Amino acid sequence: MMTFLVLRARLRNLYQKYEIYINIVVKFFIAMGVFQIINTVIGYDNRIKQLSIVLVLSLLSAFTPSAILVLLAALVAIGHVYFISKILSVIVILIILVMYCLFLRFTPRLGYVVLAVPILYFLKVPYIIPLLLGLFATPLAIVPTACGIVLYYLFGIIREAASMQVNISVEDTLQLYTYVIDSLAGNKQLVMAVIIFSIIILVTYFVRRMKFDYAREIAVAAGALACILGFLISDLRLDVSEQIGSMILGTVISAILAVIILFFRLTLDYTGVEHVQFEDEDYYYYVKAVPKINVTAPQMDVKRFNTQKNAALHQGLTGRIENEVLTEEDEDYEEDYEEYKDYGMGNKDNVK
Amino acid sequence: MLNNKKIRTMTKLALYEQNDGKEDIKMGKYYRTDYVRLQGLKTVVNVTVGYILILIMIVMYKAEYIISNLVTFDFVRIGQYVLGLYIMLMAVFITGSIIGYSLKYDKSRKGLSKYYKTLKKLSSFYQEEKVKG
Repeated sequence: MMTFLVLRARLRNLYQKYEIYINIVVKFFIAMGVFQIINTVIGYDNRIKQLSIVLVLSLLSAFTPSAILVLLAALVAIGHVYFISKILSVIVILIILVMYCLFLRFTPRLGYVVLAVPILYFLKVPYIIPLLLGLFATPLAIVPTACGIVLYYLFGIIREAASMQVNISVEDTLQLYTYVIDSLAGNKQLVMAVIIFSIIILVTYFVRRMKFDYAREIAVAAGALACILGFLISDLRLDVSEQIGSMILGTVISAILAVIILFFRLTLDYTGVEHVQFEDEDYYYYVKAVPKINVTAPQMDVKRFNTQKNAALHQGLTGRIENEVLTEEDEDYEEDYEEYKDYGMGNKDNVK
Repeated sequence: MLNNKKIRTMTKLALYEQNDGKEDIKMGKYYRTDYVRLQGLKTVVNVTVGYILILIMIVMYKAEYIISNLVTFDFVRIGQYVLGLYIMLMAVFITGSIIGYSLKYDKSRKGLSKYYKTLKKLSSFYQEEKVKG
């Protein structure tokens, strides 16, 4: 454990120093992976598949917010589908629009989940998404996850439809359309996947909110167990038993990845260096705000020869870190509220 | 002369404005009812668009059947059915959005109250400077 803590502290220092560059590089590689996967899975249009275009798109998404990456990926996918069949691309656009209007606009911050689910499905580890969302988000995350699963199955169906697509008369177009809708609406695997993913999110969420030691790690285990059980039942009932092996392996890998992310997340998320700019009458200020970290691993070189105590010390320390980060300072807002109200009123007058 | 305390306060304010506060401050310009109503209105527009799109998809799906049986349709019944579904859908979404956005608004107030408190502190620096100068 100690070596991990030291490693974590080292990584944290490194990250604090080069945060801007690391972010850009990581985003660039994620974007490139996303575009490559889209290109290999539904890469019908050779023009979009060119490496130069992939590089330009990845570079663009490296410097822009993650929403742009989602948008670009959607456009690339639609572009590929448009190349083989216009009617299929219309279906995709319609379904994405319906999803956005009815569901996705309520969870704008989780938009990337819709992209991540299909991508990770192709990498065989989609189960990490509900585990992480259960750990770090609210059950509302079920909505974008479900949309992502629908998109994954939609693209699977489109691949099939593309392979059997015959040339275009109006009747064939309609048939193609009914085929896609039929197989999407009658897809029991899709429904089961949505239900099971929702269950995983709920199980993970509720277990991690319980108050006992290692609640988060146990939540991951519980979620993974729910995942394996759920997909076992659904696979056996729907008679698709050839997937079971890869499903179990994928779940285990997902759970391990989730634990690793959990371990580093507290550090990375809360120690980001912030850059702000502001001015007053006399100066411009360019401030780099570095958060203070109270407990650093390398400082814990307390030597004890009683192992039990040692273990207790470690537990206590990690407990302290989490407590410090997790308990926000709870001030009494009541008295300020009245004052602030006055401020708010004053502001409103100015605005109006 | 640089006033370190003042810089610290301003940094805190700038951090809030840059991160969580961005949305909070925007929301702070509305009264609660106005905000919830505006978001409700946006929801209505979006749900309507989504519903129309779904209808288009259903019509396309049933196109053959519709074209061959167009004469025999009881349009009043279909209209009632479509409208009824629309109203039900709308009711669900509006209720949800009212609850959700009210909660969001209340949450933003908490951050804002702290923000205004810090602003007040900043203005006290200026008053001190005035007295000194």
